[in-house]
Amino acid sequence: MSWRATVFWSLLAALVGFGLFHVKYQVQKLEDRLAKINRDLVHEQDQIHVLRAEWTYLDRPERIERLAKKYLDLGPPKATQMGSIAQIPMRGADPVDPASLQSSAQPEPAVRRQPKPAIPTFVPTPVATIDRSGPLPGGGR
Amino acid sequence: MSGEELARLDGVHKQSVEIGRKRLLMGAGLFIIAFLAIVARVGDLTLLKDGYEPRQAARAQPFTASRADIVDRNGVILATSLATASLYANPHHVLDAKEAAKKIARVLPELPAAEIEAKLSSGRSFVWLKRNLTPKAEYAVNALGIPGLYFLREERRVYPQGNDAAHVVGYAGTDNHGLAGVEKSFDEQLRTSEQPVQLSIDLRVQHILHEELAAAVDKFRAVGASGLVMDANTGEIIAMVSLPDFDPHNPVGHDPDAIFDRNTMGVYEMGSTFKLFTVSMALDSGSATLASTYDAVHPIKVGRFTITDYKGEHRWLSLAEVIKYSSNLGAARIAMEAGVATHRKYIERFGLTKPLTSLELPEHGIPHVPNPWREVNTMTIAFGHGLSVTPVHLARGVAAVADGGVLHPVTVIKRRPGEAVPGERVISEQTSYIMRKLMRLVVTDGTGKFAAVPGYLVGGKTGTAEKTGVGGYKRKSNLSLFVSAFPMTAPRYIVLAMVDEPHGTKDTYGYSTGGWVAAPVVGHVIARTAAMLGVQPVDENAPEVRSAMDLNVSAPGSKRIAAN
Repeated sequence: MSWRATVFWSLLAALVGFGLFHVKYQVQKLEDRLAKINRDLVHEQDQIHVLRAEWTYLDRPERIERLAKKYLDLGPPKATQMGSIAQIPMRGADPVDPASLQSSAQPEPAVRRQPKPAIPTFVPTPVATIDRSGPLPGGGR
Repeated sequence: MSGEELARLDGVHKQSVEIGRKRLLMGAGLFIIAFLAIVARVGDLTLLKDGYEPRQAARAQPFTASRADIVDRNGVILATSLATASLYANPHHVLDAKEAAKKIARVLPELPAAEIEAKLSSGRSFVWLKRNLTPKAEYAVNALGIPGLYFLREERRVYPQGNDAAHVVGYAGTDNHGLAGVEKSFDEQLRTSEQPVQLSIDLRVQHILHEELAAAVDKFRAVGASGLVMDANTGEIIAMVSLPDFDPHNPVGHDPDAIFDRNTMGVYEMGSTFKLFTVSMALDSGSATLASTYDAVHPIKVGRFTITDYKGEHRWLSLAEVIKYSSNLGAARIAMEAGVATHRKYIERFGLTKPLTSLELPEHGIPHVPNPWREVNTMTIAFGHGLSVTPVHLARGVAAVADGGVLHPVTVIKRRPGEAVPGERVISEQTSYIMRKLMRLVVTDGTGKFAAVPGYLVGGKTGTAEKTGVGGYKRKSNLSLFVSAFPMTAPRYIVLAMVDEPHGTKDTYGYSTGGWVAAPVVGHVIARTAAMLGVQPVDENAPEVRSAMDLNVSAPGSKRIAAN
C-alpha cells in the first residue's frame, strides 16, 4: 500500500513539476512576444510621427501651389464663381409626370388633363444648408 | 522468561515507546506549525500581496516628444519634434583615431577628417562629432563598425512650413527651450503637456498673405512689409506676416531686422488711417455730423509746423469727403472741434496708448504717446502723426470701428466655438454703421480704389506716413499702408498691409502711397482668401446692398451729400 502511495505521489510531483515548468516557459514566451510587439508599436508610432511631419511638409501650401500651377489648369476662384445652395433652383413642387414625357411621342392631351392621383407629390427639401457665417470651413484634415 | 518478567519488560518497553511517540508527536506538531506558517506566507505572497505576475515586458510607451506640437486652426502642423540621433565618441575606446577619422569623413563629408582625428585623439572621454544625423547617415556610420562611436537619441524641432509663419510660431533652441514667438510664450505648456497648442492662424491665408506681401516688396523694392488678417468678431489673428523673415530652423546668424516682428514689436506712425478714429470720435461724441463741413483751403500754422493736404481739394469739404480725399486739414479741424480732452479719451479707448497685453507673443511694442499731449499733438494725431502704434493696435482699433463699436482683445490662440468673446464698447453701434459706409466710400470713390474686389464689399482707409529719420521726417521714405474690413455690410475680417519704404514704379506713375502700394495687396489677399474664410460674395448692385452702403439713407439728420 505504501509503495503505491509513494508511486502515486512521486508521479503527481513529477507531473506538477512538469506542468509548472511548462506554464513558466509558456508565460516567458508570451512575455517575450508582448515585449516585441510593444517595441514594434513604439517603433510604428515613431514612424507615424515622422511620416505625419513629412506629410505636412509635402502638403505645405507653397508646394501644392507650385504643383497646381504646373499640372492643373486651375486658378484662384473669382467671386462670380461662388454661389450658394439657395441659388440653385429647386425642382418645382410639381414634379414632371413620367407619362408626360412619353406623351410627346404619342400626344394624348386628354390623358394629361386627368386629375392627379391622390399620391402625395414629392417635394425635394434641402437636407443640408451651407452655413457661411459659421466657423471657417476646415481645410485641414 | 516468566510471564511476570515479560509483563514487566513489556511495561518498560511500552513506557519507552510511549515516550518516543510523544516526542515524535511533538516534533511533528512543530513541523506542522512551521509548514503551516510557510503555507500561510506563500498564500500571502502569491494570492494576497503582489498576487499578479511580475511584469517582465515594458508597456508600450507611445512616442512622447519632450515638446508638444504647434498646429494651426485646422490642425495642420506648424511645429513638431522629431527624434534624431546625435553621434558622439569616447576617444578612450577608439582604437585607431586616424583610421576611424578617415572612415567617418567618408560617410559624413561635411566633417573634415583632420578635425575628427583631433577630436578622437583628445584625452577626454566624451566628444560630440555631429548632432542630429539623418537616418541615412546614422545607418552609414553604424555600418562602419568603429568601436567607441555611440549615438544619443535627441530631439529636433521641425517647422514644416518654413518661413511662412516664422514670426508667430517663433523658434526653439537646441536645448528645446522656446526662444521666440509662441514657442517662447507657451514654453512651459509645450514642455509639460502632450496636447498641441492650437493657434488661430489659418495656414492657407497665412501663406497667401506672405506671398502677396513678398510680391509687393519685390515690385516696389521696399525694405520690408507686414500684414495681418484678423477676425473682427473675435479678435483672433488669422494670418500675420512680417518681412523680411527668417528660417526658424536656423535663426542664429540671421539679420536682427529679419527676426524683428513688425506687426507686434514695430511701432509706426500710421498716417491717414488714423482719420478713421478721428471721425469715429467726432461722430460718437456728437461734435460732428455727416452734415458738418470743414475748411480745407487754408493751411493750419501751429508754432513751426504747417499742416497742409497732400493733394488738396482746396475747398470746403464735408465730413465724408475728409475721409474720401484723406484731408489732413479736415481731420485736424474735426479733432480740434471735439477738443483735446475728448480726442485723447477716444484714442485711449481705442486701445492705442497701451501695449497689447492680451496678445500671447513675447514680442511687444509699446506705443509712443506724446507727453505732454498738447493741442498740436491732437491736430497731428488726428491724421496719424505724433503717435506710434503697432499694426496690431491699428487693426484692432479698426475692427472696433467697423464691427459695431466693440473692442475685442487680440489673440493668436484659437477660440473655442461658442466661447464668449470679451469686449468693451468704445463707440455706439450707430456710429459704427456710419463708419462702415465711409470706409466703403474710400474704396468705391476715394483713395483706396485698388483694394476693390468685386462681390466682397471691401472698405478701408489708405495711409501714407513719412518715416522719421535723423532730424525730422524723411521726405522720400514712406510707410504705405492700407487697413480694410470686409464685407462692409457686416464686417467679418480686417486685412492690413503695410509696405516699408516702397519706390514708385512705372505702373504706379511713380507713386508710392498707400493707395497705390498697399491697397492692391489687400485687394489680392481678399480676392484669394475670401472664399476660404467663408465670406459669401454678394451682388454689389443689389438694391439692399446699395441702400445699406448709401450714406444718405440711414444717417438721420444729415443733409444729402453730393456723391462727388
